Amino acid sequence: MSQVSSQTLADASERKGLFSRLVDAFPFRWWMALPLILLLGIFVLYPLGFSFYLSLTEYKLTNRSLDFIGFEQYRRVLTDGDFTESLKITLTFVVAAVLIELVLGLVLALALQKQKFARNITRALLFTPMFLAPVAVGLVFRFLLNQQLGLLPNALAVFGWQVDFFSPNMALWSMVLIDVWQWTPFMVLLMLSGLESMPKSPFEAARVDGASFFLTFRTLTLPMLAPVLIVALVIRVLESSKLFEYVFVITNGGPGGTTESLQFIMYQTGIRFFRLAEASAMAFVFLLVLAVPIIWMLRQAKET
Amino acid sequence: MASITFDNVVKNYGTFQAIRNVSFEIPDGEFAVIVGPSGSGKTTMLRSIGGLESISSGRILIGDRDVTNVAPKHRDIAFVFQNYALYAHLTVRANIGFPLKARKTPKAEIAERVEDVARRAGLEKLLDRKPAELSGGQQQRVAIARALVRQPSVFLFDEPMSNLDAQLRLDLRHEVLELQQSLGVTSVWVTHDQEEAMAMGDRILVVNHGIVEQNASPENLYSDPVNSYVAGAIGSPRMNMIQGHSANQVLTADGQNYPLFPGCPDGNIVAGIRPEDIHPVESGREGSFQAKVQLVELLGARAIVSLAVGDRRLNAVFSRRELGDIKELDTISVSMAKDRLLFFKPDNGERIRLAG
Repeated sequence: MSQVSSQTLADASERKGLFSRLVDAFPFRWWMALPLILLLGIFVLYPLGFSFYLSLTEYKLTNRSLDFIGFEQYRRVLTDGDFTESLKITLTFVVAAVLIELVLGLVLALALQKQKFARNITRALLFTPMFLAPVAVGLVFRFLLNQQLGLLPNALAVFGWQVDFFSPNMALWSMVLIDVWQWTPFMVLLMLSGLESMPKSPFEAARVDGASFFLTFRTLTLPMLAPVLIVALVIRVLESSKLFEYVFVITNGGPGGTTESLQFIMYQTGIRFFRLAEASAMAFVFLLVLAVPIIWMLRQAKET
Repeated sequence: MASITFDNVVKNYGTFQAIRNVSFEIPDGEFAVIVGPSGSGKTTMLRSIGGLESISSGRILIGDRDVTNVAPKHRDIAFVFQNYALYAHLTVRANIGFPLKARKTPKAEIAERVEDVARRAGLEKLLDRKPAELSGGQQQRVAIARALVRQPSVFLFDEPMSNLDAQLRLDLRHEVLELQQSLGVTSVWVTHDQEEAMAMGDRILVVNHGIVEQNASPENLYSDPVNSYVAGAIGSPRMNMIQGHSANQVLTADGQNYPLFPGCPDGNIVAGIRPEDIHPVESGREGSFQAKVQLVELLGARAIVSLAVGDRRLNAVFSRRELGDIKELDTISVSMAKDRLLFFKPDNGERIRLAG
């Protein structure tokens, strides 16, 4: 059947003119994709390519030289203590925030799954933080955690506990705290939907078999939830590595550069100090650093 | 000793009553089948025995022990689910051994008992596979092996074969029955398939709208149903039900007369006759009536014959010999075996028993 039809098609195309040959070479379904390809090209591929090109030059807003200097900027960035320090700060933030969100999110999701009374209202309330703009959240916490004005330090002071949330030792952890406050609900949301879409009967079988909570969790819940966990991790690692708003509105990188996240120094280098080429190089180094764990996690997701 | 007793059990879901004040007893060692249409409460009853569903009132006893408020794991039961409910990330070996592991049995003993049960269930070669690598029949076998391994005092089966094809069902049916007979463990099997129920049960509980219509042996259900629901639910093809007015040993329904016999109840009644109790006879014989053959479905030794009597359809099952050269569109004389006629009240379907 298909042989016959492809044969007749081949016969027909031999008799065709230029236009119909073009149509054959670029079938209609490709033309349908053209608008999207154009948009992607203009707004994603071109800027990406151009910024990579910039990273190979001396380009500054004050001196728009497009002379090609190879990987000189990369060498500079990697040997520059500020960048590596900032990378360390960002990775610390990402690992701490995402791990806490993961564990806390899982615990909350397991608890919410069991909840019977006032389910919807609890969930709606719990999920509100993630609907707020990070800048607004940053501003709220800037006052909430302020040593003189803030509710939290004053409340802790009642118990004789003097905490400066924005001291050099604490500032980054305060950023972690804010991120956990805002984004744990996202983890809960994903995990809850994962938990609730699981088949019920294996869990009932485990109840009959007499499995303890931990045995059930280890042999049933966790393996079945693994794909969701990995997706949640990937999304949160990508998102949290873009730490910028909290830093920008609260600490401005301080005190003493202890909260200078990568996004923040890229912004400073490129937009404040006009060194666009160097900022581009930083961005590409960071892209590589991030790509490794993300690709590894996605591979794991495929296997499970 | 592990009989199962329901004592005035009620289960409500909001305003819906899934089990309406049900009492019954399944004696120790029996294979009981709960049969009913979907939504009849049969699975709820089974899950209540297993403790997966808590009941609203009443008591459930396993043996002499009141287990009404006892957790599933302490009821000494094993449950086989409709969709197998295997642990997808564990091997067959770990699946079967799981109930033992959960109860902290020593590893050596687990290994030994898993091997033993796997051999009985014909799973020796599959022990290191994951459930996803097995066919439906094999998966259900693993589920049954998992139920067997702990040697519980009660087996509960929730429509365990509804996802399997017909031949596999027959095979597995035999295997389960043989296993149950050799172990002598009280078993409850839920199904909507009355043939399966008839084939497997020492005892059948016919369930409808949350009540047990009848609790009896298959023979009793078949020959002596308590009401028209049970009469219709058991037996295939279904019992013919003729509703009409009876007077002077003649039942008149839709303008047709069906001869009855002395001692039959008078008034508005429903007469029930099983297809195999309608026989072809020579025309004009006493007690016979005319029917037109609409359809003959040959099943080998027997044939299902659809008869039209006026506007009414009656199903009959003729043996090969009875069928002779009767073919579609013939008009034949048939009679109903008189001692097999059953009578029911038209309003509530209750059986009208004949005096003497």
